[in-house]
This record gives sequence, structure tokens and C-alpha cells, in this order.
Amino acid sequence: MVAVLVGLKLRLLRNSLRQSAWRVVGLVLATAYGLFLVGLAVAGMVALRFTGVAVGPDVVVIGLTALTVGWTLMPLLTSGMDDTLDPGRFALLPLRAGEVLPGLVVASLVGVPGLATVLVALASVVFWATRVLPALAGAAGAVLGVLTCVVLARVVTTSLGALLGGRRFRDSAAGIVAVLASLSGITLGMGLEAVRRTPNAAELVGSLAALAGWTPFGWAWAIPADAADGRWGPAAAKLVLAVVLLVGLLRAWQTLLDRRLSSPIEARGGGERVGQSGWIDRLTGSSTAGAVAGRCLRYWRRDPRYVTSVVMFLIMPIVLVVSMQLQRHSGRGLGPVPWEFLGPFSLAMLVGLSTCQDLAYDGTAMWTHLTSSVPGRADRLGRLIALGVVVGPLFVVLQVAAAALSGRWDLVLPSTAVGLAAALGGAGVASWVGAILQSPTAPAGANPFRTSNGGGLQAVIATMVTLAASGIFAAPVVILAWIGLDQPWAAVAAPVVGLGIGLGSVALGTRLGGSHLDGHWPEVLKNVSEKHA
Amino acid sequence: MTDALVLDQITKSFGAKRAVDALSLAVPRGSLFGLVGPNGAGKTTTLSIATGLLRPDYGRVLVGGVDVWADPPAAKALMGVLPDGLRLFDRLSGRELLRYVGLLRRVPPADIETRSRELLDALGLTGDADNLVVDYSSGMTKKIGLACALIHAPALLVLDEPFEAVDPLSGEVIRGILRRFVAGGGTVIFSSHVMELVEQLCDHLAVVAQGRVVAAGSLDAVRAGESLQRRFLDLLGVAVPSEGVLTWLQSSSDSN
Repeated sequence: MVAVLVGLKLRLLRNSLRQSAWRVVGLVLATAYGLFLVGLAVAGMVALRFTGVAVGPDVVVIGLTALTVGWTLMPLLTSGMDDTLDPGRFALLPLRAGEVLPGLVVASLVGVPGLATVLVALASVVFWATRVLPALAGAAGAVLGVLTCVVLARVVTTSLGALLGGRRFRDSAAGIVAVLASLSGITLGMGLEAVRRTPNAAELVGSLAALAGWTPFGWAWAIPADAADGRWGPAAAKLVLAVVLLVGLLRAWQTLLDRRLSSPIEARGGGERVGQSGWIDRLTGSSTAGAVAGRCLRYWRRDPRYVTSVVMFLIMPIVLVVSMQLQRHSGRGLGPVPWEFLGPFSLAMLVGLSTCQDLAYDGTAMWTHLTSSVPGRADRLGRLIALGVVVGPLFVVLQVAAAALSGRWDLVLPSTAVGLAAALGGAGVASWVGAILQSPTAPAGANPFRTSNGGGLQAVIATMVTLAASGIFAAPVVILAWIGLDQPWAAVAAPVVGLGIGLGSVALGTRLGGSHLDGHWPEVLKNVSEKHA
Repeated sequence: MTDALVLDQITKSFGAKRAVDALSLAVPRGSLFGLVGPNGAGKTTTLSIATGLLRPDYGRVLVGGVDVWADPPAAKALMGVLPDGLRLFDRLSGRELLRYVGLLRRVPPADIETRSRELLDALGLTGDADNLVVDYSSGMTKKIGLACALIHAPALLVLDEPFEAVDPLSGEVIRGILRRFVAGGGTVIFSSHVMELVEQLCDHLAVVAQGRVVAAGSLDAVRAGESLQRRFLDLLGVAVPSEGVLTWLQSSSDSN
């Protein structure tokens, strides 16, 4: 069964690569990136072993523990977990969970993250192999550690995905994860600040490693560290704990698998009624662009993927401002501008990103636009109008809050000028780039931790182009606003130039993106549909 | 009399597989036209090309004399479409979805109001009009899709598997709507693999297999005195598995 499942995974991977050149490029990039990280880790461990630095073992334990935490968190934070071998697909076969489990574990290691983890674990065995017993402990720790990584990740994603039954709940899960992720950013900032304040770094690393070794994520990895120091009691205790943890996780996964094998169909939501929300129709009118805007506004409220974006729009500026202020050495602000104004600026930088994804989020539903021949420009404009209705008030609130908190009302105008250039500039470019590059996306309401297998490179490129464009469009206005702090002419010029750049980008972006859509609607539909991707 | 829909030598390949192979077809105005064929015959590909959802490698499509791929907006304005296997904007309620499609089709808002009320009523969806389409059953989803295809009062209806997953009662309602639509001067082409349904409902049909038209014409001409099912099997040259094959299948029923 193990060989069958691993073979199945390899064959699915090969077939998906054959279907699309983008997948090949994505896999090559992921492999290169993985090799780079593995190379760094292996070189680091080899160097630590042969230089015999005192903190070496501590650093290795912390690093490997962090790797395990990463396996658990990454599928929650990013688009999800590779779900090539969805157990639900085996539901009709007469298989018990116990039979497919070993195969699924091994198949999970097939792939860039899995192989990278195995390589790093092997290197750690080399690191500990200074004497026989630590070497054996290292080997045991490596096996237990790698298995824990894989199984822990599976259990977390399956249980969160499956147990949060109904649609309502699943819809909010994505938003909750977004909040947790942002809060962990603040925590990390506070932690780094604490490290900076500690006089003795080596001592801190030591206690951190001891702490990590006693967390479930570090039990397996800390066994050889204790063994190398001759602390046999703790080593044995951690060995037992690690084995118990792994067995417990396997049991849990087996239970979840059994449930998935017997009821593969994802739960349907209840029939909740929606209000008529006629105010949206009155606001957007009955033109084609207006209709698109009205539809998008409803989606901003009802589609979990858009709701997550709104949460990000709210949280990101706050996280940035708070974490900059936490770091004492970074001062009150950037030159004469207090950190508070980073809030509206970062929101403006993010605005374009959701527009890149709009068509992919529509998925095959966009056939409605094709068969009613919606002009591309109306499509682009409608989406920007909805975005503006959502983000505009947020921007004003952040701007006023920044001014009120810092007491610098004189900065509102220049900050708004910069924000307009970045937001409208980015949105314009996104309207164009988003029309050209799309990749299939998991539909709303599917398990939010699931990624539609592979792909997504187009989305990354579109995102980076939009971010870069926002920055480039903002730059001249930043310079003007800066000069404007002393020179009245520049203070007047900044808002004019900012608005000009922004509107120009929107006009050009919607026109170019629209005419691309007019010529390529069927191809765009093909790009976002999973089947032919 | 011009034909409502003309497919002229349309061809489409996916990789090495030729899904539709120089397929030509004429759907007379005012006909209720059935497109039948086995799985993988190219029915969905054909209808996707006809409605402007899939660009053909070669060939022309004329709707009411307008070339779909040369002047898409003019041709698409004449068509109402219900594709199979594509999603709807399902985070809208049924009523909102109808209004959205109506606005995109440039139907005056006042007309959308009355038409959507009548359509929802006729299709038995009034009770669920304010529920999200994502929570609809697959039969209800088909029905709201049909309502979307009708909201702008098209001249030609192109429906891919409109009766799939629809319960018998709703199926009768849809049949009634299609008959009325044709009686009022409209034209319908729909795909199906249920021969009895096509035989009972259609006046014209085409049998496609492996991307080509095997037979086409009026119902009586195609079935040539036999039942459509019998004729269909003859046309495709399908043999029922002979004795001596699959004998091991019987052991399971014996042993139980």
C-alpha cells in the first residue's frame, strides 16, 4: 500500500507538470529555494560541529524545534497544504484508515518541503555523531522528529478543516487565522526586543534551547542534545514523551481519517437568508460597471476570502505601527514623520493586492460575464469602485487616528497625497496585471487550509508587480511631501501630483486591462478553471 | 428562413485529443433541438464554442446570422446560456443573482423586477429566493441557472444538460417552459443523454460521437421508424457484452 500511494503521488505530480509550464517553473523555483535553505542549514550544522562552539547544540535544537512549529503553522498561514492525496477520494475503496496511514505519511515526504526536512534531519544526525551513543540518540531523534512534523501538520489541518463543520464556521476560520497570524507578528517583535535588552546572549540561547526542548515541538530533537551532555534522565524522558506524542498523533489522525473515509462529503451550510440590501443597488446604480461593483460589494461581505482581506487591511497597519513603536531604538518615527502615519501608508500599499486576485476568486462563475459580453473596462472599473467603497472609509479612519494620536494634523494632507498615489497607483496596475495573470484558486467555502494543488506562481508574480508599482508611484510624492515640510510650493504640489498619478494609473490600468479582457475572456476562463489548468 | 444557429466546420483539440472534429450543424429557427451522444462525444465542447466560452481552433459559429467569434456582443445578446459544470456567483441570493445577470444583460431594472418574480414563481424558487445560491441543492442550482438564461428574453436558448439532477416535478415544469418558449417563436438547443426525454420533447436532433455529427435532422428522419434508443445504438455500432465475458461478476450474487 505504501508503494502504491507513493507511486500515485509521483504520477499525479508528473501529470500536473505535463499540463502546465507554469507548474514546472513553480516546482523549479520551489526546489531551488528549498535547496538553498537546506544548504544553509547543513553548512551551518557542519560548521558548528567542527568549530565546536559552545552554543552549537542549543542553536541546533532551537532551529529544529522552529522547523516543527513551521510545519504546523505554515498550512494555516499560507494558502494551505498540498492535498494531492485527499483521503476523501479513497472513501469508496474498502480500506481501513490503518492501511492507508503509513502510505500517506511516506507520501507526505514526497515533495520539496518533505525532502528538505529529511535532508536537514540527516545533517543533524551527522552533527550529533561525535560519539556512538549521541549518534544513536541523534538518529532516533531525527526519525521521531521528521514523523512528528508530517503527522502534526496533517492532524492540525484535517481536524481544523473537518471539525469546523458548517459553512458559516469555515467562512470565519480564515479570518480568525489572519488575526492570529498578525498578533504573532507583534509577539515576535516583543520577543526580539527582549533579546536585545538581555546582556548575555549565550545564556539566553541556552535557556531558550532548554525551553524549546521541553515543548512538544522539541522533545524529539532535544534527545541527542541531552545525551551528548550525559544527561541520561532527561534524554530518556524526552524519548518517551516524543514516542507517546507521535503515537497519540497517529491515533488522532487515524480517527480523523476513518471519519473522512466514511463521510467524504464536506458539510453544507444551513439555509440562512440574506437581507435585500437595497442600499447597495441604490449606491451602485444599474450601469454595467455599477452592477459589477454591487456584486463585488456583496462578496466583500459574504465571501470568506474577501473578508480575510478586509481583516488584513485592518490588522496589518495596526501591527506595523505597534511593533515599530515597541522597538525603542527605532525612535519616535522616520525623521519628522511619527510612526503612526505608517498605518494609512501601509494600507495604501496593500490596496491593489486584492484586485490582482479578483478574477481567480470568481473562478468559473465568470462565464456569466462572457455570455453577457461585459466590456472588460466595466469589469475592471466595477471592481475598483467596490474596493474604494470598502477601503476609502478605512483609510480616512487610519489617517484621522494617526493625526489624533501623534497630534500632527499638519501631516494629514501630505500623508493623504502619498496614500492616494500608492493606493490608486497600485489598484490601476493591479487592474492590468490581474487581467493578464490568473491561476486557479480553491473556491470559497472549501476547506480554507486546502490549496488547489500546485500553481499559484502567476498570483505571486502579479502581487509582486503590484507592490513594486505602488512603491514606485508613491516615491515621487513622498519626495515632494518631504520637501513640502519646508517649502510651500511642494506642499501644494504633493496632493496634486499624488492624485494625478493615482487617477492616471487607474485610467490607464482599467483601459489596458479591459481591452486585454475583451480580447481574451475565453482564455481567462480557461486559466481559472481547475480542469484545464 | 435562416437558421437560428449554424456551426460551420468547428474544430477544437485539447493536446493530442481532438474533442470536436470539423463539426457542422444547423438548428432551424423555432425548433426544439436535442444534441445527444455518448460521454466524451464533444457535446459540452460544442456548446461551449457555440456560446463563446471556448475559442475554436477553426470554424465559424453563426447565431441569427451573426458570427459569434467575429462580433461577440451582438451574437451573445441573442443567446441565453446554461453551461454545465461551471459555478455561479453563488454568494448572491437567487434574487440577487437574477438581478445581476439582468443588469449585465442591460435589461431595464423595472423589467428585471417583474420578470424575476415570475421566473422564480414558475420554477418554484420563490421560497428560497433570498437564500444564498451556494446553499441550493444541485437541482435548484440548475433551475436558477435556467432563470438566468431566460431573464433577457433571448431568441435562442443553449442549455447543457438542463435536466440533470432535476426532480421529475421540476423536470416537467422545465419542459413546459421550453415548449412555451418555442411556441412563442424562440429556438432551443439542449444536450442530453436520456433518449426517452429527447424523443418526447424534441422535434429535431443531432447524434454526435467522437466530435462528429453521425446523424441529424427531424426526429422522424433520424429514428427512421425505430425507437430512438435502438437507432442510437445502431448508429454508434454499440454491441451489448456477449455471453462468456464478465462471467465472474455472477459469482458474487451466487455466493451471497
